[in-house]
Amino acid sequence: MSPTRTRGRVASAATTGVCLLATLACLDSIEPTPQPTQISIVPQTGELVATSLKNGFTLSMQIFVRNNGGRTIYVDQFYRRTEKLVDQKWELAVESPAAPSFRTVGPSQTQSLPYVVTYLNGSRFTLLEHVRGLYRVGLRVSYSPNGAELFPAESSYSLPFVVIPP
Amino acid sequence: MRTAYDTPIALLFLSAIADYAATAHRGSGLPHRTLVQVLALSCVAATANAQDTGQPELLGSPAVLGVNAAIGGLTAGTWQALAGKSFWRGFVRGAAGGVAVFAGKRIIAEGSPVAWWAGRQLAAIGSSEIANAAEGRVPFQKITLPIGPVRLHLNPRAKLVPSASLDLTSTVAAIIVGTRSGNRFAIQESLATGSIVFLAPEVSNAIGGNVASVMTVSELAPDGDFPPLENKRDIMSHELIHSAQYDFVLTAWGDAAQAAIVRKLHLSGRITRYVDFNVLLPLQIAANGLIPYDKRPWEKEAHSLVPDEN
Repeated sequence: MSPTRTRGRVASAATTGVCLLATLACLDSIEPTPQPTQISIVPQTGELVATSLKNGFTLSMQIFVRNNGGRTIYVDQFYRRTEKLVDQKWELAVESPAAPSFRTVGPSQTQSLPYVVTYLNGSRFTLLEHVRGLYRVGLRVSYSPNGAELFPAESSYSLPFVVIPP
Repeated sequence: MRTAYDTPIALLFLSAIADYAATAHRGSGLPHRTLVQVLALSCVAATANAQDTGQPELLGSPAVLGVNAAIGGLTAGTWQALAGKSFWRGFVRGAAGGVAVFAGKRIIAEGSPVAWWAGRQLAAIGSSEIANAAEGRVPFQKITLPIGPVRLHLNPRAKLVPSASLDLTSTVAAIIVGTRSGNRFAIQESLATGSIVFLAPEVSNAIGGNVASVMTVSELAPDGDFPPLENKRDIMSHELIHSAQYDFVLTAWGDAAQAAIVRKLHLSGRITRYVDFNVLLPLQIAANGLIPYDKRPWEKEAHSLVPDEN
């Protein structure tokens, strides 16, 4: 075999190897936020600017819950699970306790719920401390007024929104 | 709009040096620390951040193409003229190499692993061609391809197996960036780009950085469009364009300068055959120190090729 042909084959093999590597190497996509057909949970804004406090900051906006189905749904008035996107995965930033108080959302109705998170300097919620990035809010949604028929957690998240530092 | 404004990378380096000195070398002798500091500061030269304050003025593609061709042409033409040969013959070949460098950077801006690999290597071939034209070698006589901190030197006309050298600056940068608290090696991103990539922790203000071709990307950057956050792929493309710029400086200018120093000082070529020292670092340090972020031509180029669409 001539040296030229051998060189050509080595070059082709190297090129093929690099192309394979480039094709197979892929980046992780963002962990998806499922959007169930029966409800839509939409933040008031896609760009939430944090408000500075003397010893921390606060995030505040309305969250709109629309019932697209034919059955009445009930939304926990106080439970909010805030998650932050870190390395394309959603990680818990802060979670408020569940409460036995539900807001009723009839078929084809939309209700707005307040979303307020206050961070005080020195708190243990490390993913809130550095307030910026992509966030989403999880709610507790149920088909029964006492919360017995809860939606799966993954079906109860808002669309993601960007948090901008104060 | 860019969402995060960063501590200048020089400060990150100083901080990294402090960490390094405080942990890895606690109690060690001053000469050792001094060496680490000098090497670390040297790395600042090839620094670029995707999110410093102020936005550089954007240039159109024809202008960026023209600048790349002109730099390639002037490099090769001047070098040939100094050797007593035709400036214009060198200029034309060098300009063609500059066009290839531009094409490579333009491909990088497409933002996919295939584009990153193909673009950076095409730009490296363009830089090699500028060096070939400057040295009066025949086209493609010597091609230098960067893969991480290793540089493969191909001589397709003479040798079957490429030789390899280690870019010392890039290696030191990788050690320092990698040992910085919270940073972690990003294997997928490294395989996708052919560069060493680290993920910076979410508490870091930097959304991206490039130090001697070692890239950092913030964990906060989403791989999707959520304005005003910057897309992770755009950040990586921006930083990889800086890597292509670094490759050009090292291949078209640094290698020739290193060879000249070795000849002038009658040094043995044994070490320099396997290790690249990037002897132009002092100039790069000076350039980064003297020129504000939004006035730096290399930032204008990267921002122009990967415009911030927010």
